[in-house]
Amino acid sequence: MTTTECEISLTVNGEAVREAVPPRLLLGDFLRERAGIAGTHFGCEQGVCGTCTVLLDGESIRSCLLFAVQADGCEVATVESLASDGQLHRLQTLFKKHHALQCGYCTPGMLMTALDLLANRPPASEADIRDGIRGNLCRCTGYQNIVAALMEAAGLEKADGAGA
Amino acid sequence: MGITQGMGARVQRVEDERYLTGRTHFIDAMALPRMLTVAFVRGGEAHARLLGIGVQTAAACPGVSHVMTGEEANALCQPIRADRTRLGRTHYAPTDYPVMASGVIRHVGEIVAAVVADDRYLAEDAAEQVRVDVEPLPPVLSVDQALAPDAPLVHGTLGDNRHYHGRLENGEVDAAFESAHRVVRTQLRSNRHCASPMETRAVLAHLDADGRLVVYTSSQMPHMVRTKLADLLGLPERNIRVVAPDVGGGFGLKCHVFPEELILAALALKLERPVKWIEDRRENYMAGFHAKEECIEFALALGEDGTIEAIDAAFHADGGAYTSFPFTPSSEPSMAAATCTGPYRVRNLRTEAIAAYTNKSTLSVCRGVGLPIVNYALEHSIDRAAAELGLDPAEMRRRNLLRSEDFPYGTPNFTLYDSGSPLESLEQALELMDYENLRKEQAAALAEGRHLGIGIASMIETTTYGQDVLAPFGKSDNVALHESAALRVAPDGGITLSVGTHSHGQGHATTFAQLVAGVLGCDVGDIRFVQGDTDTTPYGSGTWGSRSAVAGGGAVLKAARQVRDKAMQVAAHLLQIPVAEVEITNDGRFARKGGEGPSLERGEVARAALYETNLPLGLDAGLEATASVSPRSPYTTATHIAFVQVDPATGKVDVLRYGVSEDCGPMINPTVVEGQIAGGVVQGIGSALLEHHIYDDQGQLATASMMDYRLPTAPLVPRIEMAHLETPSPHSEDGLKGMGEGGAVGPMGAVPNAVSDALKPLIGWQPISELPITPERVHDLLRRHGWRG
Ligand code: FES
Ligand code: FES
Repeated sequence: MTTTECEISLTVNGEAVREAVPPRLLLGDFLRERAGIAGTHFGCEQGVCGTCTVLLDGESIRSCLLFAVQADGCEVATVESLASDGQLHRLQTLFKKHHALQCGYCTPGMLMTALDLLANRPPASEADIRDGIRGNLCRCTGYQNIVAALMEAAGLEKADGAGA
Repeated sequence: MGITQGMGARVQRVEDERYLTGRTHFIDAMALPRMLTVAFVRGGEAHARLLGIGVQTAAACPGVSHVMTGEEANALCQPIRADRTRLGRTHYAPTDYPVMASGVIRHVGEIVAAVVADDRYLAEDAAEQVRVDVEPLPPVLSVDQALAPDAPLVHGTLGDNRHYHGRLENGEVDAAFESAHRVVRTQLRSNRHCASPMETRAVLAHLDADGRLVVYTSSQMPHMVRTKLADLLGLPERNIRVVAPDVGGGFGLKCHVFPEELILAALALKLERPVKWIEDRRENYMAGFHAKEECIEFALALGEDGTIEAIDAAFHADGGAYTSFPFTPSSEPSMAAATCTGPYRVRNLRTEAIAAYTNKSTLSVCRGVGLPIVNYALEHSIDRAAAELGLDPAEMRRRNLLRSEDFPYGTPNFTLYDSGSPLESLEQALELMDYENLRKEQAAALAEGRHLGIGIASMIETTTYGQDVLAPFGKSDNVALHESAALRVAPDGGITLSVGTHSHGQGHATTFAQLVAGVLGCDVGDIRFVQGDTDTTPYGSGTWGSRSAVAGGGAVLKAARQVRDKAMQVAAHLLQIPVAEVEITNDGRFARKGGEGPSLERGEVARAALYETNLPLGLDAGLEATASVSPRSPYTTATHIAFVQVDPATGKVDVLRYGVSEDCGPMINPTVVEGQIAGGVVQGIGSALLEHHIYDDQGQLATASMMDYRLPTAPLVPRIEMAHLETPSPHSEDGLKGMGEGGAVGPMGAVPNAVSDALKPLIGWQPISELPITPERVHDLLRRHGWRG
């Protein structure tokens, strides 16, 4: 039951947000319903699919597995933070160039995971890339063109054959 | 620039930006003032009599507006039905599918109540307080059990558990089997699969300012949903608007009309407030429809040289609890039977298709409909036959495949394959994968104790599903098979294109615009693409069955050509030259052929037509057209080759390489085509190796989460290699064919074939008789055949 609400303050895509929230409110629901930033989706709400991935202090996390109160004092970045001044982020441009999205539902989470991957665990091979996005499910693309976009983003030559 | 963006160009998708930036219109992002949220209470028994529902506690919970039970819902809304008037001798016994359980619960996950509250947290709190009293009944949990003489009845009013039973015999089947050099008879079981789009189902319903019912739904077929809402809620169809906004994948799940859509509409009408439901994954797996689970008996009668003399096949589907609309549990087995000679020359054929009611979630269509099952049964049988005859699998196919000059080809199933290139495709795929070298690599690996396998699967894909295919094999009444497109040119020359199909990943905003660009010489960026809203798009049954390119795209081409023809007349008048002298230049201007003299922009022509300035005598004002196409079904052919490694110690299968040669006719946008192939193949690999919905012996779904129902992840699949052939269809606009499903078909044959091939040195060629091919199953197979490692 929702009884006491907790006051939290955090930064979402560079803007300070202060809200009273029920302790059980998921971070993802907070972003969508309270902060009005609805680009992040849920695919499973159980931490399996990665659709809900956002960055928390620069690291990718699943916004379905975290309560909003746990993000108190943190910096959250969602897919909405990528493009600036009407210019797509390089990763977004590469996704478009390589046809790395079909229905686009997994895309926000995939982009945020990829940002973390490229920044914090730079992949050295196609296998590293495939491994790096293993926690994000895409039902449309077979990952093929997501991997192609990330290969270019990581400055890797297109590898032949097996990825695993 | 325009023509360069036409047919065949690798144009980057125009719709991508909103998805990349998170500015999408998925239903989860929509909110309306005073909106309420719905949580469903779902039955926890596979089969039970519903004795009573206690809602007082739930109704008194904080934030709760209403609790609707079956009594109320079923009074407001008629049950879903899929009647068929044209049946012939086929047994077809549809059920009433009540929007909420009525008297009896028939599968785990069936809706028993809907709780409406201020937000989802409160709705779910209250839903837990709903008391459901039941008396358990014996469940029916397999097709074999359902068809046994003493089986409990899933629907007491039907005489037995058969939903559908069709038979066909053509030619001298018994004689062919009697005189056969060899008979290869295989029993197989395919897994219970589900589409599992990343976006679950979602509905938002409200009344607009005029009191009209507006339903946003994550659907592949908004017009069909509108028709059923009108029919079942008793409303005039003109007073309903259905919108399928951004939809996060469908794959056949979302081409049905669902109880949840009807219940949300009924709640919006009753409460006069917006109501929203976002399905959770558990509901999606328990109550979203399943696919593919069939018991198959497949027999080939073979001549000495490997010629297929006859096929005798039976497909028995575990159909689940109810008759869905418009596709029903019959769709999978009947389409499997209807396509079970594949791309081969076969004269004698006997088939049986059964779908039986069971106490599981309803089984209906998913990407490929019947074809993946056929590919598994037929291609695995062909490889088995090759092994028994001592032929290379490629050679076995060469001896039986149709070649391009055999088309048009009438099958013993009374269907007409319009065109294709099965043999040429086989050769192209063998070359793509360098088959000879692959065999050498396999032999070298074996010498080192590694077990590699090569699996070929040939296939022919029914696309578009026109009357020619669906009429003989059964379609539900009141389903449109045509598509329409409306194209309007504004005074500034900008174009609005609206269609009845629905793109939820297929890229129609780009590919349909390319079709227009090719005709009118404009850029894809000059075209505003409209879909999904029944108020602003022409009637059509939406996107399913690889029909959008041929039916929807065909209508787009026709409409664009009508607009072009009229624009030419206006331009000729303005330029004072004969119509036959006018051409559209590469940059979209109207000019005299050869390019001499003045020329006109499209906007100038449009303004002349719209402002009636200087129109030719007798020509109506305006520059727009609506056209429709009632398609016949073109066929797409393909060859898939899987190269796998099997570890006999662990039973693990790794797909090392995967190649596809596909002939889907002229490609509008090869990049989009390749995206569809890659995505389809990976789904197919998932079907072959991972995905399976398991019910326990009480009918509880043991795989109700993504942890348990395993989808392919990036490291589990290789890059898919591709090559193309382009044989146009003789009976579609511009020779177009469909291709959206085929990718998911071939792996069902290629992967099991590759695994059997890999294990051959250890235990001889043995069939993989059950999917998915889990490590446990590989291990069991090896043990059963005496391999002890
Ligand atoms: S929704 Fe968070 S991981 Fe699936
Ligand atoms: S693009 Fe549809 S789920 Fe990834």
